[in-house]
Amino acid sequence: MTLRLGRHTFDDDRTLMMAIVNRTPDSFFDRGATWAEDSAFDRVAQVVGEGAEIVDIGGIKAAPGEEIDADEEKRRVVGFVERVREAFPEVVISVDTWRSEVARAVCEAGADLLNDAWGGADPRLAEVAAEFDVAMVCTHTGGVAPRTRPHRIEYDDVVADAITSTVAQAERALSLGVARESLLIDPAHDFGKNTFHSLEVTRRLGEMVATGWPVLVSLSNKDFVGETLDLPVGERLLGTLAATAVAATAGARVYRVHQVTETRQVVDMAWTIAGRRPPARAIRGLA
Amino acid sequence: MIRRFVVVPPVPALLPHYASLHDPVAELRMSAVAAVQAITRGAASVAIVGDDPFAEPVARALLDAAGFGGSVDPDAEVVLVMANGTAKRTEKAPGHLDARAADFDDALDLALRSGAGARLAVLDPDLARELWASGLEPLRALGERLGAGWQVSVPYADAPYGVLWWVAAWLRP
Repeated sequence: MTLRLGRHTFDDDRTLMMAIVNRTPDSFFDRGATWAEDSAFDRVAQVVGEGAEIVDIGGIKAAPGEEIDADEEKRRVVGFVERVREAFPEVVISVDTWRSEVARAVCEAGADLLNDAWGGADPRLAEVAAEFDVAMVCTHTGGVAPRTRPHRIEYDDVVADAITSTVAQAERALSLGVARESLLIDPAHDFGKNTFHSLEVTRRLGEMVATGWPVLVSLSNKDFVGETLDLPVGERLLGTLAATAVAATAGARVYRVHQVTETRQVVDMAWTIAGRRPPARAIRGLA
Repeated sequence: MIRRFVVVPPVPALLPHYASLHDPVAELRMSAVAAVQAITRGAASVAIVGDDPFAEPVARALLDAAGFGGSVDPDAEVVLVMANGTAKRTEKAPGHLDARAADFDDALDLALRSGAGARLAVLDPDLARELWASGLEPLRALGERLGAGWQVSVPYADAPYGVLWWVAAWLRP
């Protein structure tokens, strides 16, 4: 399905890199490296140079920690969205937030996509997406509250739960007026999931793709990779890329990542093996 | 009687199922399709000659790309000759370097530009096989039937990947 993300449209054979840009002092991977606005701006310039089609700007780390209210979250992201919009009109601007109040402010500042990473915690967020005709990511959290860790969560069938939940959110958003081509679903690895759950949604990602809704995956350097390989943050790139190859083979369309260049190569390779993309330039044996 | 023909190379990269994101043979493709289009204009049928396993599929792909709606008939007056020079011109060439390749290609180049069938008829098909040049036997057989005084145009002659390719059209004046 053709994707329309705010001002931008992508053909249905395209895969997209969504680069993570944290306006936080404490996110797990970069540990505040882009907390200063100019550092975050440099990070945007870098990932755009690396070919990222989307930047995903977040003002609150996912893990529990210091309470960040809506005003502080807006201070962190709204002006920054405006600045990125102005400097990089060709890039899709996504904002990672669960709050409709923040969503409204960033849409006014030029956001194209709302990454509702906490699975509809604020039901009015979809109304904002509809009002501004922007795109939205519908995620599966198993019903946990924002910024909580999974603790003794169990599912009869985690993939079925993820599909039921994300498709219901997408259909609800559709009924509220969000365009069909502007809705994505995300199984949300490690959100409301232990490592076994995240591995299972990776293994069975094809079932989510088969719903027909475009699938976004957010695998980058996460704990399910770390626990699988017994590696700390900072040593999880290869594991991330292996999971990425599996997701790409299954047909995921959007990849939320820290490392754009490496992920792009892996996705292009897997997508080409799957027969969905031609080689860049093949002449060996064909001259 | 043959009225016009075009020599094009049976390059597999021209086939749709071997397409890349960035066409490695864009220039050859453009030239070959234009020549096939020109030569088949107004023709109800064309003949395909060649001796390479890719001769027929590549010829048909070029006819499709040229928008040819007629039929393929071995007795047609318009002919696609699927042929190319050696594939042993350099150490990086598909067949590695053979010192005889350059001279062979030069002779073939002169023959293709001569407009004289007799010049094609004297090419050595055994050496051609050794040097991985294709379509030389049919080209030689054709040469014997052509006579002289043809009008020749060669819009493409290059070896970007170690195989010498021509797009050469012969028309009766």
